[in-house]
Amino acid sequence: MTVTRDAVMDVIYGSCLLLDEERYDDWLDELCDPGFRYSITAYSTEIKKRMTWLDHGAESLRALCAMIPEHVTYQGRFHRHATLYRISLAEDARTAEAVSSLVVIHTDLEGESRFYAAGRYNDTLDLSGAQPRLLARNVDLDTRVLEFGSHRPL
Amino acid sequence: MSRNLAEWRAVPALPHSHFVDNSIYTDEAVFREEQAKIFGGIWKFVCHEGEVPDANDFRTCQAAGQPLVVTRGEDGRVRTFVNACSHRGTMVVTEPAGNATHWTCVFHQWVYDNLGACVAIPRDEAYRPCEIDRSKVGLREVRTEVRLGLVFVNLDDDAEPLDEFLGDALTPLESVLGERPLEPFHYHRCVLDTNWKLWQLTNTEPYHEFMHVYNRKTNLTRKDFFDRAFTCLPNGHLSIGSFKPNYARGTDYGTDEMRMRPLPGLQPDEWIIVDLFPDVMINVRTTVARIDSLIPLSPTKTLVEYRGLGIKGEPEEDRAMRIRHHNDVWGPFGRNLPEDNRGTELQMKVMRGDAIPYSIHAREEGGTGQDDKPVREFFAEWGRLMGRDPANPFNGAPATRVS
Repeated sequence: MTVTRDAVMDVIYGSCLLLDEERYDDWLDELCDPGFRYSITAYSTEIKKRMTWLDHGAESLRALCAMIPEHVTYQGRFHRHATLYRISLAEDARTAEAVSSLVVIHTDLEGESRFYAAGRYNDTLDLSGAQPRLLARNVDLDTRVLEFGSHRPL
Repeated sequence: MSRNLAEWRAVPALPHSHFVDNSIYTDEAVFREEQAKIFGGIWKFVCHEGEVPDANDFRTCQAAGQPLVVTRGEDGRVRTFVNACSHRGTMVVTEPAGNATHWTCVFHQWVYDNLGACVAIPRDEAYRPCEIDRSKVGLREVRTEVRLGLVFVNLDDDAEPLDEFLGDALTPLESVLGERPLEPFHYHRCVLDTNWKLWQLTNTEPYHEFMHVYNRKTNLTRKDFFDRAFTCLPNGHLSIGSFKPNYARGTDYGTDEMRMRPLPGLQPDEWIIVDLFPDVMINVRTTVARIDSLIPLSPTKTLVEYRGLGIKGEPEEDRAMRIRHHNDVWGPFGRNLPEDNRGTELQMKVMRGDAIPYSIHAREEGGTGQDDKPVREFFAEWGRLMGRDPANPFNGAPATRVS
């Protein structure tokens, strides 16, 4: 389990580094399965519904990220701080569910950092290969009042 | 050619309808006056009926800085109260939404029913010498009307009836919003460093469409796209409808789904926009409806509420499609919304420093295409309610800008 935990941590923390560096293709190619599914969700206490704010497969997410340079965006970078809280292995030990706490800070081009969002990564990982790969990532946000919208995956 | 200071600060050689003094976006006194003269006296959209679908459902909201609670009584009627205890002003309802027949103020345990009556006061015998009893300390009820599922309130008991205020503004949306019950599937908020009018004008002037790569790829190279006409209505309302973007030009925008499953009353690819003065945009794009509404927090800070609507009880597959179509463009992580956020905040970064004295709204295209006529009509109504000329709001006197 220790080896698995370390390997899963490498994937989750490695994904934070690649996303922070905006290396989206590397993130998808190195750490995600070709059938990877990515979603951002939140529960609204106002309308009393679970909301899906973004839902993409690997290739449509790749296309979305490729368009970022064409968009008018909030310049600067996101810093994703994740802490792995729990890993649950499937019975056959070929997949695992990992829950991580997530805090995202945005730093603008002038160096001013602001809290952006809090939530969790709910990851599903394939453990059958040489290294774990993300099969699915759900970013479940507590934060629903945002300073601004974003074109970048969290 | 660049301009020197005198040229830069010179009053534009335009009719006053075609420009505004930017101090109306930053001035503290103007902001306070807007709260009283505009938001304190107009019918304000506060939520969708689908947010209080069942008896005793409630939803908290705001108008003109006042906390409100909207609730549906057991008689089915939607009512609104100022969310303040009659005793010493404590907020009574502290959850965004819920279901309750009664609310108890946490501070001194006064109890109100959802008709607004005070029904219990602990040890109320001590009030008898002053002749205070429960019948005299009910909640303050606010005028409330529902049209096409939209819940409007008015803080002014003497204001004109809602139908006079709206006129025919909602007529283009009668089928879309009224044929089948809708409900929000999306709600989020952004606190933007901008003035509330700058957000509403972004939803009013389509000239900014060039900012959106989504629009550039789908529509803006089509000459006939600019044939769309604006209808400027009494009381500052506006409709743009209907026009048909060509989603086939895009590469991944769910074209076929949009053609096959439009909202009630819409043709495939059809798009209708209705802006209600002062702070609402209802944007219906074939498969999804979006409503923006505003809570001005200060001259330079605005809370924007975003809702996405679907058909109540629709199949899961249809709902999933609607959510996808909404969020791919209008969600917080969609293509267009972050760009609009950015555009309005970049305006305020400049205006709050008094760096640019005027904004120009001088495009004339015969009420079609990207004419600034809707902006001019917005400011005509603003000027009428405020008793100020937006182009010269202080008659030459200095403004009291925020720092």
